[in-house]
Amino acid sequence: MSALLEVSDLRVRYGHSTALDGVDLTVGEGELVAVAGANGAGKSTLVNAVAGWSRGRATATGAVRLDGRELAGMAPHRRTKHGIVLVPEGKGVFEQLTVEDNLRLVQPPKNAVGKRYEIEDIYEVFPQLPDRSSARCSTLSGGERQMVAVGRALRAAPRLLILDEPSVGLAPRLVLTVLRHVRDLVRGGLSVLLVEQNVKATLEVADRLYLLERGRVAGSGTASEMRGDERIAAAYLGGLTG
Amino acid sequence: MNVVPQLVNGVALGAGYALLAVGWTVLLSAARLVNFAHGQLYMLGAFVTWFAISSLGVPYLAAIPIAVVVVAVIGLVMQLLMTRLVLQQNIVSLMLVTLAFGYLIEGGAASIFGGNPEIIDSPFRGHNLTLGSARFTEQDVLILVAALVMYAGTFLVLTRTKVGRVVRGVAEDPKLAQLYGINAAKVYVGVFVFAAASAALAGAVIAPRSPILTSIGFQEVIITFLVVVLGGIGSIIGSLVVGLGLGIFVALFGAFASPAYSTAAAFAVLLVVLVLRPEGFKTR
Repeated sequence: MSALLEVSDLRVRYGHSTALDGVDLTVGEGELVAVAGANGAGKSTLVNAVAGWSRGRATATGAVRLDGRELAGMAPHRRTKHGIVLVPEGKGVFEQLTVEDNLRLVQPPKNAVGKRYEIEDIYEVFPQLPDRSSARCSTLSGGERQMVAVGRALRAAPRLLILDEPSVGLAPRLVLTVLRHVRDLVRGGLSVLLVEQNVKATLEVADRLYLLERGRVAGSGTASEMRGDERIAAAYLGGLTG
Repeated sequence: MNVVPQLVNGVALGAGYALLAVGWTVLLSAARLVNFAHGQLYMLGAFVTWFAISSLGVPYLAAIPIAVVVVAVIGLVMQLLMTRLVLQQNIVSLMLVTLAFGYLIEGGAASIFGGNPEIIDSPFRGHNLTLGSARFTEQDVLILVAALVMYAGTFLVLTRTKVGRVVRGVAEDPKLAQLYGINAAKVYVGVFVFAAASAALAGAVIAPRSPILTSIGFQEVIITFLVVVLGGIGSIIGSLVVGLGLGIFVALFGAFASPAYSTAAAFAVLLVVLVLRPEGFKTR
């Protein structure tokens, strides 16, 4: 499979501390790739650096290529236009704006390579949203906000959708629902890079998984390979029998 | 003593305060920026209007857009020079840098336009109107109309249009805006230029009420700051209400207590309000 996203030797520093120390990673066309790891392993740093984005003052070096095109040094709003669209961890919507305003803020680019989502298409993907369309996002539940954040991202016609902990704050039984939603999008042709705490659920939907430890890739492989990986089993699946 | 003339006078005064504050209100709410050269841009708007009329022979109503465009261009240059500070949201440096721009503009204006008091020859300032026992000029009406139109227009643009959504998004979270594909730096430039242009409009419309000097900027920036802070930093409606209220307060205080202390009294009100309600009069 030809890689849509190719990350090589990615290093990120916050001041004097190294958060990411030479990471290589690929995501193929129509592939769902997950990143797992303990808190502080560098998962968010990794996906933020792919989007060229940071809430802090991160400095990144290394190559980030989308379809062979080098994006390193490009501002995040321009990467969005090239098709790398990130839904960040935590606050991913404008809370003072309504659901519909959030969605309308993003126009599908005229020469969109990815699928075009009109507002109605978003409402079809998330049938709970139309009823809340004129509600301010600050009044939504965590799950509803996450839907708006993902809906907003889809509006940008992404080629690579990056989701950083989309299920955070959701009830455990909803996590798999969210991940199945993501899987459906991938079935529609989208490529997804996913960071997710719930590794067990992630392995049910992901094609491949990277395990990060202290800013480095400690292991990677297909979902079924990684299910058998001792470190994954011990740390995330509740022992070898999990 | 009759209250009505003072009320009418206060409304005209207050409409002027509000008009001068609209740009800074948007600047603070949308970009969390301050511009301590705002008063000097007001002064420049007034002097460009005066210059266009008295030296170029342009009619008053045509001189207004000239002043707006000239000052907008100066605002654009200022903002482009400050881009890095703006993106870092380095407020302390921005206060100093804009203050420095203010003094430069004041010095430049003094060397170009001279140090004498000048009068903007507006055709509306001589025409007196009466309302009961109150007397006011057509210029006062123009100020009120300009203020209401600017506030209504700004409010509609911010709440009803795509541009407004973008500006409100950047106001809430400029980092997140980048992920929406929004170039926050461009939005900052747009908002700053709007603020500069509206200060020029205020200068062109308000200044014909009294003789102008190139040193009037600083007093104006202080009043603007007062209105914006009391209005609840960044609240459009708040600035309009506080601007009008402050005008009426100053007029009444000047008439019934002492005009010499009206600015001090206005700041005393600011102190009391901010001690009791640190967020100003803003309700939400």
